[in-house]
Amino acid sequence: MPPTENILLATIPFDEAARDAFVALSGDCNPVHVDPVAARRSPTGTPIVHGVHQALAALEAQFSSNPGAAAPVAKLRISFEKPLPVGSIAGIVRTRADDSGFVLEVRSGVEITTKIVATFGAGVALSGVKTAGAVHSPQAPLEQSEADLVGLSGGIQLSGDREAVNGAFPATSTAIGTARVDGLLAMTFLVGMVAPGRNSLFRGLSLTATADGAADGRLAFRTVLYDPRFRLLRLSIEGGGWTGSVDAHLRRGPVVQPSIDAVSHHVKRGEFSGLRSLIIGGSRGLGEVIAKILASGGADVTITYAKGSADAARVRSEIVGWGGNCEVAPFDLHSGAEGLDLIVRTPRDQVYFMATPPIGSVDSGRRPDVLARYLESYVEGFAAVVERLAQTADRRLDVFYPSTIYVEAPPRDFIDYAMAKAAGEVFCASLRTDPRFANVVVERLPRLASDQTAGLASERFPDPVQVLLDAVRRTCIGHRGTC
Amino acid sequence: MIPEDAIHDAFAEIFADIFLRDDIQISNEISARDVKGWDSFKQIEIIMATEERFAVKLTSAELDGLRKLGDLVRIVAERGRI
Repeated sequence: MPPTENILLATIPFDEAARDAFVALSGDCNPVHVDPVAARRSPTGTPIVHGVHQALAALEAQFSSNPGAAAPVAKLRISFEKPLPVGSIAGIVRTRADDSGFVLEVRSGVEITTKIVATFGAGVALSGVKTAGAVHSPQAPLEQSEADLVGLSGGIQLSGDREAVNGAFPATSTAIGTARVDGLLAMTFLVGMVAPGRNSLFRGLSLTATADGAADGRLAFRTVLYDPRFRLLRLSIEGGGWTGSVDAHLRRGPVVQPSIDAVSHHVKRGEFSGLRSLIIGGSRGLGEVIAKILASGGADVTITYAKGSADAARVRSEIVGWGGNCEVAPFDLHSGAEGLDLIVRTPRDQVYFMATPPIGSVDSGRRPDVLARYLESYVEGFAAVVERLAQTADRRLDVFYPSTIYVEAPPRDFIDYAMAKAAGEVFCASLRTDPRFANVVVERLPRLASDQTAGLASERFPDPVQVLLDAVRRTCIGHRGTC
Repeated sequence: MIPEDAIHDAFAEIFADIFLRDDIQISNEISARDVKGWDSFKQIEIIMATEERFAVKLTSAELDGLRKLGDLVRIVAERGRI
C-alpha cells in the first residue's frame, strides 16, 4: 500500500438537498435514504447517506485537489464501514498516496464511514461473457426474498446522461471517465432498488476497470453467492466500464411483535382494568407489547408516536378490534412544553417511558456527542414527561423506566448507552422519595426482539411478553387495588 | 495439519484485504477489541474469507464460539486445506 499521510481534502455537508440530487442522478430512492418513517424501523434508525454518494464525493475531492495528476484507475475497492446519517458533515481524508494509488476515508467525527482504495494501472479487456437476463428498472425498490436472490441475474440500464453525471462529479468524470461514474451510479441502483432491493445493506465493491468502457450502456449482474447464515449476497457485475463484485446484506424487515390475541393468553382478564396508562413510544417495539399487555388486561391505554403515525394507527386498530381501549397521541420528546401539553389533557395513572433514539454501537469507544444524545432522551426527556404528568395527575403516578442489563456489564461499544440508562436509574431513585409518585419501577431489560436489535444473524431472544408482563405487574402493584 | 505460521501469513493477507490496511499484527490473541473497525460485519467478512481461503465450512457452534483469532486458527489447522 502507498505510504501513510493524513490530509483533509474537503469537508462536505451530506444534507437533504445533496441526498435528493443524488437520488435524482442515480434513481436509488431506497427508503433507508429518503423516508424518515421507514428508516426509523431499520437498524440505522434514521435516513442514511448513500454509500456510493460518499465514495463519489471522496473521489471528487481527491481528483479536484490534484487536477491533471491523476493516473488511470485500474482497481477500486470501496468498503462501507458505518452508516452516515443524512444531515452529517463529513471529512474526506487521504490517508495514503503515491504513484501506485491512493486511499481515502470518509470520516464523521472519529468514525470512518467509507473507505476507498484506488490502484493505478491499465484496465483489463472484458472476458466477453455477458450475463443474460432482463433489464430491471423499478420505480420503487423491490422486496426480494432469499429465494428470489438465489440465481438472480439481469441488467441495469446506465443513465447515459453525460451532462448530469459530469455536472455532479466533474473532476471524477474527467479522471476515470463519465461512463465509469455512471457505472458506479448504476451499482447503487442495483443494490438499493433491485438486489437485495428494499431491505438491502450495501457493504462494498471490488472493481477492475475494463478497457472498453461502457460499450453497451448496461450493467449486467448475476448472483454468485448467497450465504443464508449471514444473509450475504455477492453479485458479479460487468458493464459501466467495470468488472468485479458487489457485496450486500439482505436485512431483516421490521420486527413484528406478538398480536394482542397472543398477548391476551398471558394476561388475567381485567387485571389492569381502571388504569389510565400512557405509553410514550408505543407505536412499535417493546412499547407496542406493553400497550397490548395493558389493554388486554382492561386498561385504558394511550400510545404516543414521534414519527410513525401509521404504526400507531395499526396498533390502535388491532387493540380496538380485539375489544380493548386505545387512543393515539402524537408526541415528540424534542417538541418541548407544547408537546407535553398535548399528552396531559387527560390525567394519567401511569406512564411507561419507551421512547428511544436509535441505539447503535460506537466502535471507537466513548463519544461525548453520543452520550449527550442518549441523555437528552433517557434523562432530560424522561424527567420532563414525568414532571408534567405529575403536575396534572389526580392521584399518585406510577412510572416504568426500561433500563438495560448493559448497566451491569457494558459492552465496549455501548458504554455511552449504558451510562445514560444508569443516569435515568438514578433519577428514578429520586422519584421514589417524591410523594407524587407511587410505584417507580426500573427494569434492566435483556436484549429483546425489536427494530433496535434486529441483526443479520438469527438470534434467539427471550419472550418479550413474559419479560414485560412481569415488569408491568410490578408497576401496577397496589394501585387502586386493581392489580 | 496446516502449520500455524502458514495460517498466520494467510490471515495477514486476509486482514489487509478486509480492513484495507497492512499494519495489523496477526497473532492468536488478537480479537475485535484490538482492531479498530472489527465489528459484526467485519467478523462476517473474516469468516467468509477464511472459509474460501482454506476450503472449510464453520458450524453454527464454531461460529458462536469465536472469541479471538486463535479460535479460527485452530479450526483451520485441524480441518482446512491450502
